[in-house]
Amino acid sequence: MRLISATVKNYRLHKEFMIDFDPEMTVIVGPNETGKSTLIEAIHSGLFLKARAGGQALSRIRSKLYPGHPEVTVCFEAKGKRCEVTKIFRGQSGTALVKMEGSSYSGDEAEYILGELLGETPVGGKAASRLNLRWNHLWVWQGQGGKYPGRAVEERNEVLIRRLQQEQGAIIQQSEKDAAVADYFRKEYSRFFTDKGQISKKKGNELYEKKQRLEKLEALVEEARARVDRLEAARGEYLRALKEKEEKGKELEKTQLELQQVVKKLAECEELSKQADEHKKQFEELKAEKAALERVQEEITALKREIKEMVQGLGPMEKGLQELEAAIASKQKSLDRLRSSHQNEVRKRLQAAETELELLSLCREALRADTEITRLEKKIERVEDLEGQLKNIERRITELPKVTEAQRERILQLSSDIKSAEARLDALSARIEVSESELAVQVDGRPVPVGGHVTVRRTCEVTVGESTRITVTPGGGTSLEDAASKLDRLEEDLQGLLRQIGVDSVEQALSAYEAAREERGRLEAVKTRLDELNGKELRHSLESARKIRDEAESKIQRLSSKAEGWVRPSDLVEISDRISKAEARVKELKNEEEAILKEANNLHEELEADRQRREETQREIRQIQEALTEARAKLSVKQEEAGDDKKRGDRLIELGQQMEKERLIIDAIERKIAEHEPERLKLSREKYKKAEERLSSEIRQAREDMLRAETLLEFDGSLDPQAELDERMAAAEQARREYEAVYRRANAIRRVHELFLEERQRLADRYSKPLSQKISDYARVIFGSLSRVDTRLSENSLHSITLFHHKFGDTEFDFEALSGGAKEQLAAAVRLAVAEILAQEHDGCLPVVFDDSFTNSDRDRLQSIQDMLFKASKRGLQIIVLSSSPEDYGTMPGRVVRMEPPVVGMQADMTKGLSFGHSDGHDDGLEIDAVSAFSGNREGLAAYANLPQDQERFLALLKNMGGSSGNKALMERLGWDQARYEETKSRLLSMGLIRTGHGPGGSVSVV
Amino acid sequence: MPISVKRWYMEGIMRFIHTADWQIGKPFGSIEDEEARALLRRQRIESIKAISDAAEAHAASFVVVAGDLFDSNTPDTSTVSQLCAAVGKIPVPVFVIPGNHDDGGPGSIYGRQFFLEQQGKHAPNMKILLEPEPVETDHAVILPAPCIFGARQANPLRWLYRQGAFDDLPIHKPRIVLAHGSVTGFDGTEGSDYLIDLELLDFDQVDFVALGDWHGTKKITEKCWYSGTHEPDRFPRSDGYSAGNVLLVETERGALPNVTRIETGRLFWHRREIHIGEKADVDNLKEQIGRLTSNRVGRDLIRLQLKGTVSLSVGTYLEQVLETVGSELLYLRLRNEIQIVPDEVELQKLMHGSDPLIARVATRLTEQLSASGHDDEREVSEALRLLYHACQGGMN
Repeated sequence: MRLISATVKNYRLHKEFMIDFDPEMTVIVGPNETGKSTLIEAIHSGLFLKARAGGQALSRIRSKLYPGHPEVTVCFEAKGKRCEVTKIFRGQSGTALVKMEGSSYSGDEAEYILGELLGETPVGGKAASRLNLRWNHLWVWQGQGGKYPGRAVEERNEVLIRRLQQEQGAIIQQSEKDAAVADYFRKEYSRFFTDKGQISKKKGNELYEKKQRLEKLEALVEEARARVDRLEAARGEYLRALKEKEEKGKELEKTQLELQQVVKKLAECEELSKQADEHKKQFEELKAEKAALERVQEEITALKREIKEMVQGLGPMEKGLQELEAAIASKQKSLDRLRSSHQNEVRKRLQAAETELELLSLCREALRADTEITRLEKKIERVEDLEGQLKNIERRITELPKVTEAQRERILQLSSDIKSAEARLDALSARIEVSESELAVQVDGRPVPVGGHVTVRRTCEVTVGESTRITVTPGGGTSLEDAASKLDRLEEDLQGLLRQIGVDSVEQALSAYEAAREERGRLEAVKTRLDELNGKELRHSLESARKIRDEAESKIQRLSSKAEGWVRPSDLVEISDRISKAEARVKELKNEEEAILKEANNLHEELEADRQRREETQREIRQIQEALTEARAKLSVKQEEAGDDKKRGDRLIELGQQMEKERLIIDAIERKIAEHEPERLKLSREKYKKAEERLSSEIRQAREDMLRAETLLEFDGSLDPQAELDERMAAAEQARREYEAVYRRANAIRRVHELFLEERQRLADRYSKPLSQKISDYARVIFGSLSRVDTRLSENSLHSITLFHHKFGDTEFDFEALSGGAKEQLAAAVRLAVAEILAQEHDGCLPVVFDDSFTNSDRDRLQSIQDMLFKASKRGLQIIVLSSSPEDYGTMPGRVVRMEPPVVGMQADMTKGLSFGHSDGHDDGLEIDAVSAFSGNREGLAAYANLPQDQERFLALLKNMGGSSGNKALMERLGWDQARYEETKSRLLSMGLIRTGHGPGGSVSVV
Repeated sequence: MPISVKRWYMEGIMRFIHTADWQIGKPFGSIEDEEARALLRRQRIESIKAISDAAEAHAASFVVVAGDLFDSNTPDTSTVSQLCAAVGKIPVPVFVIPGNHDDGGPGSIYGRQFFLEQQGKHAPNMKILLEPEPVETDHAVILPAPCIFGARQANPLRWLYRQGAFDDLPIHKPRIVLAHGSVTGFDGTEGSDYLIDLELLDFDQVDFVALGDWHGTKKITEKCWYSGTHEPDRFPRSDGYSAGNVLLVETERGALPNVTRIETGRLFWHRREIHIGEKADVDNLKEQIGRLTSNRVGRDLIRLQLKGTVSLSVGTYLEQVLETVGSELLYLRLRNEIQIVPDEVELQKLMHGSDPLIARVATRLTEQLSASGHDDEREVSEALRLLYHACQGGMN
């Protein structure tokens, strides 16, 4: 199948666009948004979208710029025929028309024929969404260049495998029955297992269900078994408890018997012990009686001794008492004597001496006070004189006019100011002097005597006599007036001040001031003297002195009346003398008194001590006499009670005998008790009691256990647990058998299925090889001649595409591990290889469209990519490349179609695509100078033009030379230098178009 | 043959029915078919009617059940009721001792309130003998040796070994020992918990030992018998095994008893092991089963064990036959141990046919099969069979 031309109308942004395809290679270039992809998509739609397709498929292709329905006409060759298909897309009324060898087909028939010719049917309706999958192995949509091509290839696996098988010739092919049986086992397998080989949990999976059932039943068995076991255990437990109860019961009986015996023996011991106690009591009573009797005996003896001792002790005590009485009487007499002499004599004398002394002291005091009074009175006189002076001065000061310091200053100032004002006035005023006149001269009415003068300060009138009047006006104008008024003012002030003070003149004021000052000075002097004398204190002292004298005098009066023969001394000397004498006498008498008192005290103390002793002795004697009386009474009582000495002695002997008897009885009983070993018996009793308790509790426990077991054994009887267990076990066993049967069958199926897979893969591997070979052919152009590609093709997939890159030491690269660029290149190689194989079903040609499919590839690689595409075109494929960068494909042989952005509203004929070169007649291949096809676009790119051209020439010449030639001969025929020849040769070698051979200098031949 | 009624009447001989191992309530768990299970259970009660008939027909004085009246100590209430009703219809007293399945002691069915109620209500003629002490009837003395839980491994007969055990018994009445368990020296009984040592028993003092536990009718000595179960309940293990009987015992003090078998069973249990090699064997198998059941429908149970190695085609044929063969049976237990291996012709067909993939797979399977000591031999042969079957158009 080969595209010839196409016309697109009203298709999205295309108003109308017509394109002719080169039979081998067409490059459509143009900037983005020029409609390259749309154009190629429109052609795809023309081939594979049903004309009646509607919905999204239709709305997508409708033009929003131009009215009219989308219309696509594609002209192509297929199955040896030239066809033209025209589709107008307008939903249900869309039309499809196929013209072929003079016949026309329309509608569904046209679509059918198209499908037959292309090998894949057009889609419409709901299937329209699958449109992009049509020929997606040949049509590399924009953005799909680097995608794993396996999916696209897998859909064509069947044809691909068939073609590969045919290529391989006698290869073994699976039969239809093979396929059917394998498929049957695959399906059977998937009934039981997941893709990963696990047991599938799908509903209806017998294996899974059986397994589930088995597990469930086994769980049920366990449950039932547990129930039965519980019952069984309960029975065992019941029996155990029963046995325990019985055994313990027997033990208990035995224990109780033992206990009874022990208790009985203990009771006997108790009885004996009571008897012993009785006897012990009697013994104790006897003992007590005896002891009492003995005690009485002792008491009587003691009493007797005591009385004797007391009687003996009384004699000396009474004698001592008599002596003491005598001593007391004598001492009392001495003391009385002492006391009377002191009072009568010494005391009187001492008092008289003391009185005299006191009187003398008073006299001295009175005398001294008199002296003081006299002195003070004189001083007070002086004070009173000064006080009179002070009063005078003060009166004088009061009488003087009062001029303050400030007033004085002011007066002086005003006087001075007046003087200067007068001087000034004088200077200005006129002097009227009467030198000689017969007439009375008056100035302003005041007469001025001859020789006198008047000073006038203002206009005045001088009258001389009666008739002469002269007006005198002093000079100076107003200043005279001013000076006069100032003076007046000053004088007025002064006069005011003087008036205020109360004087008439300045002199008065000043002298008053001076006088006052002097007086004040005197006053201060007097005050100072007064202060020195301190009159107040003087008067006070005088008062005190007088009081002292008066008091002393009154005392003297009082005392002197008592003193006989008292003569008042006259002066101080006498007083002093007499005082000294009196003092000595008082001292002497006091000593004397003290000695007497001391003696009396001593005597008194002795006397007191003797009296104390006497009392003590008297008390002791009294006590002894009382004790003696008591002891005698006691003795008589005791003797009365206990009988006489004989009777007591007999009783004591009797008591001793009785006690011995009781002691013997007690010993006998205690021996008997000891024989019973009561302590051991008590221990035994404890032991048996404990055992009894323990056993009883154990029996109780056993009874409880029995009850519990019985409760467990009781059940409602609605079902038989044993039967249930049996049934469940059998059911589980059955389920297990069933599971095993299914398990075996499932595994048998798995076994067969896996063998089918293995064997089929083995077959598949055989045709994977030629496919890998073909892909490698293309890949080597890019990745180097030593690289290779491995791929595994099986019935329903293209497993792994692996690149062995020679550059990296034959390293293995999985497709997905490659770089973006390498992916694009390898994917292109796979597509080209597959297309080449599939082309055999399509007259040896298929178009392969690359829409901007190498965007990730380096510029350096683009040359190799172009070589690969060129190689594909040489192998019969029609290559169509869309690119937005024309320079990338500058060196590509083939037709270049340049697209410009469409202009809205342009005439249809003007939007016709610019196409270059020829549109047909390319059949003779190598004879064509491919470069000519690019003439319109190749300027400036000439430097890159050589290579493909060189390759063409190389191949053409080699073919003309019979397909092979020696290197040297060929190089000479081409007329190239060594480098150019080798370069071209290596490129062709890498493309696999030529191969090297032997011979002198080496040879090349066409593949 | 029982002696005539006249002789019995004239000579003071007494008769009784000896039976055992009714195992009422047996679940028959190993029977997969629920309906068959239910029928088997029901039949055990229904067959009591045959015992009742025999007792009446032969004017037996009483019936003794030598243990295992119930299959377990925990029968459900309806089973208990049905049993009591059936026993109640027997016109004579029925003396029962507990066996190892329904042994006395704690948790025993015979101590349960419900049982006692039902017994009192429906079967007042049923006497459960739980104590090892003589029970005197009008015509005989029964010496019971009940199985009591907790006395396992102990000989229930032991009380009869005591000095003077028989001293106080009436001298004219026959003495019947009633016991359940394995008799030493006879290992026919299966895993019984109770062992009975007959050698220590003073046989001069007893006239008959009625034993239970062994489900086939078995004579140990002239005086000592296992009656077997009244209704067969298992596939026979040996040719001599005869179940589904009760014994009519005629006895008198100091004489040997006269024992007669009376058939009471209604179901037929068979065990067959058949070798299959070729197609004819399959046909033969069909015939054999037909012969076993004769004209009966729904009353036979067969345990069929198939052995041998057959070709794929014979195997397929066998499968078809087996699908139809069970229709007249109450139950078929198939133990199919047949090895299906393709024969030469089949192998050739598979391995050298026109289908290369199938041929390869078949070859690989054959290789796996012939690999010595292959663990999954059955799986591989199954795989081959499935492949063959699929190739024969057996895919669906």
